[in-house]
Amino acid sequence: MSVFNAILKSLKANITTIIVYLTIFTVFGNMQAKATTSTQESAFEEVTVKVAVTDNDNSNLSQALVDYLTETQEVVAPGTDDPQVMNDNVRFAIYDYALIIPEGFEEQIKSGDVEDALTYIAPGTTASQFLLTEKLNDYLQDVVVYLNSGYSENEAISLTHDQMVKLSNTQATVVDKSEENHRSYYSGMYTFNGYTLMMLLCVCCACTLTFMKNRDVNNRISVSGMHFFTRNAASIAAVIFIGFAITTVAIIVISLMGLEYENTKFIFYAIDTYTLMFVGLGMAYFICSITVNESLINMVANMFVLSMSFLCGVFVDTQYLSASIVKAAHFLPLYWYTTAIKFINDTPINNIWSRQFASYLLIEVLFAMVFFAAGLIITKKKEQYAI
Amino acid sequence: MFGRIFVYKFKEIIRNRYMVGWNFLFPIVLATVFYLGFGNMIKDDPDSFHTIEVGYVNTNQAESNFETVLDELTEETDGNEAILSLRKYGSKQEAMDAMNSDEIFGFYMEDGEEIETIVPTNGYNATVMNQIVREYENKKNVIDTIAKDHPENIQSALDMVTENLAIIKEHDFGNNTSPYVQYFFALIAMSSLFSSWISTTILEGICANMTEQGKRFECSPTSKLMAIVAGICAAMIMQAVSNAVVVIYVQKILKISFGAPLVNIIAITTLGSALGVSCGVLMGSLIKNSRLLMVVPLCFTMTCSFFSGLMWHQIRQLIESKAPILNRINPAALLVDCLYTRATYGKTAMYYQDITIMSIMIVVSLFISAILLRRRKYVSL
Repeated sequence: MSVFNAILKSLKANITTIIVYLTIFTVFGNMQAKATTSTQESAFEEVTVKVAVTDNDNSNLSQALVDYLTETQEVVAPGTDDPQVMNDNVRFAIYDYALIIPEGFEEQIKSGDVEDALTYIAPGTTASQFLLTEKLNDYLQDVVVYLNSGYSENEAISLTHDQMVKLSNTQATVVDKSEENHRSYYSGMYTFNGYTLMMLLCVCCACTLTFMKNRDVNNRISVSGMHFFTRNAASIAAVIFIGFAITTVAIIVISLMGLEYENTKFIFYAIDTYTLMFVGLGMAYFICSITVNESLINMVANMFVLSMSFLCGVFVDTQYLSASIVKAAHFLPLYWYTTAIKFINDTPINNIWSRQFASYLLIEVLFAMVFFAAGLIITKKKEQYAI
Repeated sequence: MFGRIFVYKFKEIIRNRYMVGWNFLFPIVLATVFYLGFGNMIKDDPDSFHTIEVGYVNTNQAESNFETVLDELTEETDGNEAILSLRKYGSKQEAMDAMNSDEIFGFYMEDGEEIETIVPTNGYNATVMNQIVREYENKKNVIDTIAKDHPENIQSALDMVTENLAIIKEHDFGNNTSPYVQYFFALIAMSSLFSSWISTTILEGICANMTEQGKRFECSPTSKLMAIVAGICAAMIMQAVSNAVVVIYVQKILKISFGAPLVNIIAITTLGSALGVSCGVLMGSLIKNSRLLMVVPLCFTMTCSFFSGLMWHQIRQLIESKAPILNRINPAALLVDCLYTRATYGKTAMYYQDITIMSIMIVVSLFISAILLRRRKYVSL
C-alpha cells in the first residue's frame, strides 16, 4: 500500500498539467463540439450571409439596397473603410462578404451604365459569395429593368421590394430521413477528448512511471523488504488507478458540459473512452521506456499525440483529409477510437453493441498491447546493455 | 576571445538534445502534421463553391423553360465551375432513391406550373438550389408586371432580363494566399519565440547563482559583455538556421507556397529569431529562479502563439478588429502579420510598420537587459 500511495502522491507534481489540459478541453472541446453539432431538420431554413455594407452614396437606391440586405441577411458594421482590412476580415471569417456602394451609385444606375456599379470583397469563389452576389444582381437587375421600362425610381424600388418579399415564400422541401450525418454534441466532445485524454495519460503516467525509475526511490523500495510481486503489483495498480481516475474525470467533465443535451448513448461512449485509456497507458509506458527526462517526455508525447490527432480526425474531420492519409491513419490507435465514436453517433442505440463495435475496441486493445510490448523490449534491452 | 566564446556557446546549444528537439525537430514535425491536416484545404479550400449534383423530374409532357434555365446553369462560364450538374429522372421516386443513395444532392420536381425543390438537409447547397427557382420566378413576375403596366416596353424588358448584367464586381487584391497558410506563419512565429529558451539557458550558464558552469565563468577573467554578445549571436544564428530549415522544408518539400520570395521570407524569420532571442535575454535578466526560467519562456511563447493564430487561425484578425494594440505588442502576431502582409499584399506600409516595431522591440529588450545585467557581480547576486 505504501508504494501505491507514494505513486499517487507523485502525481501532485503534474497537477498543473492536468488543470491546463482540462481547461483547454472544456474551452476548445466545447467550442468545437457546439460548432459542429447538427440535428435532424424538417423545415427549410435559408442560409444567411454575414455582410458588411459601406454606403458611400447615401441615396434613395443605396438605402433601399441596404434595407433589403438588412431584411434578408445579417448586416454588420465593416469596422473600417480600408478595403485591405475588409479583405482580411472576410478571409478570416469576421464577416463573409463586404459590399462597397460607391459615391454616385444611384446616378450611374439611372444613367443606364450599370456595369461594375458596385464592388464586393469575398474570400474567393465560395458558396456565400456566389449566393449573395446572385441575390444582389437579381435585386439590382429588377430595379434597372423597371427603370428602363418607364417606372419612376420609387416605383421601381417598391415593386422590386414587394417581389422579393413574395419570393421568400418559395421554399425548398426538406426530406431528412437519415440517422447519419447528424453529429451530436457528445460525438464532438468525445472526439476532442481523444487528444486531451491521450496527452494527460501520456504525460501524467509516463512521469509517474519515471518517478519509480528514480534511482533513489527505487533503492529505498528495494531495501524495504517488500515482496517483489507486491511492489510491482502496487505500481501497476497505481498507474491503472491514475489512468482510470483521469478517464473518469474526463467523462464527468463531458457529461457536465452537455447537461442540456440528451445522452442516451453514454455507456457506449464511456466504453470506447475506457478502451482508449489502455492505449494511453501503453503509450505512456512506451515513452518512459525511451526517456526518463520530463521535458523529453513532454516533447515526445506532444509530437506523437498531436500528430495522431491531426491525422485521425480529432482536429480535422477525416472527410477533409486525403484518401492516402486516411489509409495511413488506419495504423494509428486514435483512428479506431474516432471511428468508434462516429459509429456510436450514426447507429441507432439498439444496434450499437455489434461485432463491428467490438472489433473497433479490440483493435484499440491490440494497439495498447503493442505499445506495452515495445516498451518492455526497449526497457529490457536498456537493462541488458546498461544504457 | 569573442570567436572562442561564440564557438563554445554554439557547441553548447547544438549539443543540448532538449533544445535541438524543441527548436529544430518540433517545428518540422508540427509543419508536417499541419501539412497532412490542412494541406488539402490549402490546395482546395473547403469553402470553395463546387458544382452541385442535382436531379430534375418533369411530369409535364411539353419541354419547359425552367429546364432550359437548368441546362444553361450546367455550362461553365468565364473559366468558373458550372453551378449545376444535371441528371434527369422519370419519376419522383427514382429521383428520391438517387438522393438517398447520395448520387445527387437534391432535385427539382416540375409538375404543371409548380416547381418544387426537394433537398435532404439545409445549408448552402439547398439555399442555392432554392435561389435558382426564386430567380426564375422573379424574372417571370417582372415580365408579367411590365406587360400589364407598360406593354410598349415589353421587348426591351425581355432583352434585359435574358441578358446577364454585370452590375457587381469583385475587388481584386492580386495575390490571395490561403487563410490556412496562416497556421504555418504562426508555427514559424512559435519556433522563433522558442529561441527565448536558448537565451535563458545561455544566461544561466554565466550566472554563478544558477549553475556550476556559471561559477567557473564568474571566476574567469573574461568580459561579461563580450560573453553575452557572443552567446546572443550564437543563439540568433542557431534559431535563424532552424527557421530557414523550416521555411525551406515547407516551401520545397511540402510544396506550400508562402507567396513571397524565399530570401525575403528567410530575412523576416531571421528578424523574428532575433526578436525571440532578445525577449529571452530580457526574461533571463529579470528572472533569477531556475524553475521560472523554464516556465516563463514556455508560457510566454505559447500565449503569444495562441493569440497569433497557432491553434485558431481567426483569432489574430478578431483581435485586430476589437483591440489592434494587442497585435502591435505581441511579437508572434507581429511576425505573423509581417509574413502574411508580405505574402498577400506585398511591401505595404503595414509590412514596414511590423518590421519597425519588431526592430524597436529588439533594441528595447537588449537595452533594458544591458541595464539590468551591468555591474551584476557574484557578491551582489
